[in-house]
Amino acid sequence: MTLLAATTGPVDAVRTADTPTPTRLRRIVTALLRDRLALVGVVLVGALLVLAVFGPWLAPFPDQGRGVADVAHRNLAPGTGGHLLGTDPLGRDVLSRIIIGARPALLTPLLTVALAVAVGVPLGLLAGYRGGRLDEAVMRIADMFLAFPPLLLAMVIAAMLGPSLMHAGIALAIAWWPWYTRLARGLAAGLRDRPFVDGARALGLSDTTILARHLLPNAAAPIVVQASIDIGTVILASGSLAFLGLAAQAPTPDWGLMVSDGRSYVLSQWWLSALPGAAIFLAVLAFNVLGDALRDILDPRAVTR
Amino acid sequence: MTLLTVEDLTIEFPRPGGRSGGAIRPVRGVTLTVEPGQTLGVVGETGCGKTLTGLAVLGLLPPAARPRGSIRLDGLELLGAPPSQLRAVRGSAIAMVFQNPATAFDPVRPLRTQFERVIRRHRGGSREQARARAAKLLAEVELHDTDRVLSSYPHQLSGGMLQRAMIALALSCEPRLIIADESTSALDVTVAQQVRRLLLRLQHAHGFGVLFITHNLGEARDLCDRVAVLYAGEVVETGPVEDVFTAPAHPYTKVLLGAVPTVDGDVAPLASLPGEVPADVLAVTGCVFANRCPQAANLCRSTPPPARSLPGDRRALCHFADPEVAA
Amino acid sequence: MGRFLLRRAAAAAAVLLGTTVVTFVLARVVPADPALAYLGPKARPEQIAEIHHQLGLDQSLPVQYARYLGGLVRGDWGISIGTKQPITSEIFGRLPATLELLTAAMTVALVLGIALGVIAAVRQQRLADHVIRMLAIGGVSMPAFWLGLLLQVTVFGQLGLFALTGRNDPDLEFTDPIRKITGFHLVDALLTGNAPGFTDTLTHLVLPALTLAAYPIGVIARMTRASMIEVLAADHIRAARAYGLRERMTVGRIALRGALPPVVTVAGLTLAYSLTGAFFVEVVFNWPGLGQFAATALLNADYPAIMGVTVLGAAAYILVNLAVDIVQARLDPRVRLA
Repeated sequence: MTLLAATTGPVDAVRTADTPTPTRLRRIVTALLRDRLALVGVVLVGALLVLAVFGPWLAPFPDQGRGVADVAHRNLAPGTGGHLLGTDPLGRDVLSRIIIGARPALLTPLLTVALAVAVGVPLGLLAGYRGGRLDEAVMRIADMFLAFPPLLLAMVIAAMLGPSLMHAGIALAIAWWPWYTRLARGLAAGLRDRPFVDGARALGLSDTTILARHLLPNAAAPIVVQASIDIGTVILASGSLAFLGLAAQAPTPDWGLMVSDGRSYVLSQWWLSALPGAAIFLAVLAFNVLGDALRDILDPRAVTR
Repeated sequence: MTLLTVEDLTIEFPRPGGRSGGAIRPVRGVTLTVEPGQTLGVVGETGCGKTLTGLAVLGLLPPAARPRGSIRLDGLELLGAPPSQLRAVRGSAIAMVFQNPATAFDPVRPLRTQFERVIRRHRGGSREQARARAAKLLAEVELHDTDRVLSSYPHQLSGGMLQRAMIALALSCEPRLIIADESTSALDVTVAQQVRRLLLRLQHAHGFGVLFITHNLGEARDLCDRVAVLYAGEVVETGPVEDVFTAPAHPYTKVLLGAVPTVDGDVAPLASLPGEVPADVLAVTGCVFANRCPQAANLCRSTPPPARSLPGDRRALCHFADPEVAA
Repeated sequence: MGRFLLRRAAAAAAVLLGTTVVTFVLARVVPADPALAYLGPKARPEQIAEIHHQLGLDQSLPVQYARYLGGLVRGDWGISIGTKQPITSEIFGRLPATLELLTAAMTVALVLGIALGVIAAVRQQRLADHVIRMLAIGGVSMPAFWLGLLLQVTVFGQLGLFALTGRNDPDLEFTDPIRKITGFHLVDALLTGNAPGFTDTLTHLVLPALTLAAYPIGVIARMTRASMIEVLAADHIRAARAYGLRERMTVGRIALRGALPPVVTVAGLTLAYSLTGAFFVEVVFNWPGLGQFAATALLNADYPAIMGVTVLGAAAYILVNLAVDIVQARLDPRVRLA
């Protein structure tokens, strides 16, 4: 979804040749740390990644987190019986399920965006660089996909493939790649006639080399910004798929699924839905804040500040 | 009675990013006067403080700016006047003609609407009355296809037409003072010439005073009665335009006039001068021009020059301003 | 203006045709056999062949596509596997409920989003700006289904305000039934002077509309702020001030008007996005609209229904984009030349 990107102003702006160097990286990191809101984003993203990696060791009841029931301790309110966030109708520790659920909740969107970038960016760069028929063909196909609201397309594909976490990821990637194709194409078309690209051509370098060594580094900043913003959006989208039952299936601990399961108890045991939902919200918020901050640093010409 | 008096105007900004209470003063001790029906040219290079001075008169400095001194229009103090009073003065007693007419009009409204807004703001009346007045004003600035011009959007008109329309808008509430900030520099040479002639003719007919801000000495000479030369935020020389231009008293004015020879009279970057405008003028102990001045002596580097009055209603900010020259 | 419109409409039609190709291909690559979906697992081979023939599945792909396209145009969108009703009657019967929800949400979002964005821009880098920016980024990060549940728990559960689920109280059907005119209950109740019906509808509409509005409010506020800041720094705003125009005129009319075009663009995008967002809000609030039907269809692999909803979604998305182009051209005289 490029709605967030739409608020950032021209994304197909082309910048001058500057490849990420250690000093540039340091500049980005210092800038991120200086902005207080960005710092919150960095800390939150870091904490979530720690949960995703070390979740099984951090969860107080790892087996329950994975789905083992404990019928003796059903429906405990938060803070009772050593269950900080309470238990669900099968007696499973909600905190443990949220912690264990961090891995699929973050990994799926990260892989999805990576896949969309891996497919969309080379296609877009090639289309923009070569122009002509190839450009036409690639962009017309991309346009067909861009004509759907992306979440709707992902839901439909996930439903048709059959509900599972992997299918949801594939569906999301299919819905997202054309956005990167369009972005990369615009960037490549703007860079195509720059002197340094002409020079590379004159040296007889192959198209692959030119794309990888000369176009990609110069198109990287807006793509990174877009991807970091998209991770938040895709976390939201995959949570939405799970909520509808189109992604992970019980008893897998999945935040979206937990919200959906807890709905029947919403007025009596609010924590069953509210807390995993809060986890989704925080994850999306963290990546959105980080993406915004990155955009301000990497793309200073964008209007939003 | 003097129309506009700017006395000892200093504009200070908190230093951006500085935490030690430091400040920059891009305009320092500027004193200017405009007599009714006369034109004062304010000339200097980009960044010398011309535009800020003009904005200060309108009370439109950026919020961070802290102006000091006095700005009086017909004896009425404008500096520190309440915003509502300033708003009532702007557009009626003082009107501004901007540098780039293509961006100074609202891009998404036809010119008619913009005339209506200003006229009805200051003189009230109905839309129809405002429109009739607008048409009359446009005819006066020699835009005769008034209906078409009024229903046009800014992007549909040429720069010259827009600048004429801007002048008509400036005239719409019978101002006593017009501030023209580089009003012809975005136009091509012949159109600029026409606009200058128009301005002179209108001044004759309406008798308004003009504060004419420009970096173009030829233009200043054509239009102005008096001229004030600004360098690094200070008025280094002021006097009747012919006298100053034929016999400059300040070394900077001399250099400026020596740099005139570009075709259209624009001041070329002062490549002939060594050095640059000091980055921090407040750190300069002597004359701000000393580091580039061909005539600088030790005195210039240690002591700020006094404002010397010279014969013929002239002043120069220089230890060595030569009274003989002016005489 | 006419040619501009025609060009945009032609482009939109071409894209719409493209989307039917995508939906068709999607439905054909599905591993499951639709015949089994209709007949159940105990179907005999000759029954399956019969259904295949009826659905045209025994013909070549281009012929199948042509038949599919013909059906779409004629209004024959197939039969829902779940409800055994024609897709068109299912969809268009539920559409008004969804449209009413969307309209309410977008109205709230436009008013609040633009107001918040203007305040933030005028008070740039002050407390109000920081608060609004945080609210906005919170709004765009909030899962609609979660916000809906939170509102149910707090506003309804704790405060006892508004309604938990549904579009109307079931009893209303007996006490003060809303006569159908436009299909928008709020409007119909108003037109027929049905005061209890109006209050009841409003009570049910508030929470789902607010839930659906959260994301667009965030996006619109952010865009309005950015666009206003840019316009406020423009020459013509300085000129307006130099001509003594009042701040209310300068900021509230001239600057806001100039800042609108990009706001309209993102508002259009969020409206399109909210079409999908409505699915979740309808599920949470048990709102009898298209989204709920679509969610059920998706879960039960009701392919004809899914295809119908998808084509409709794409058509709506394209239409919204077309509408944005047109509004854009009306707002900005410079666009008309392009």
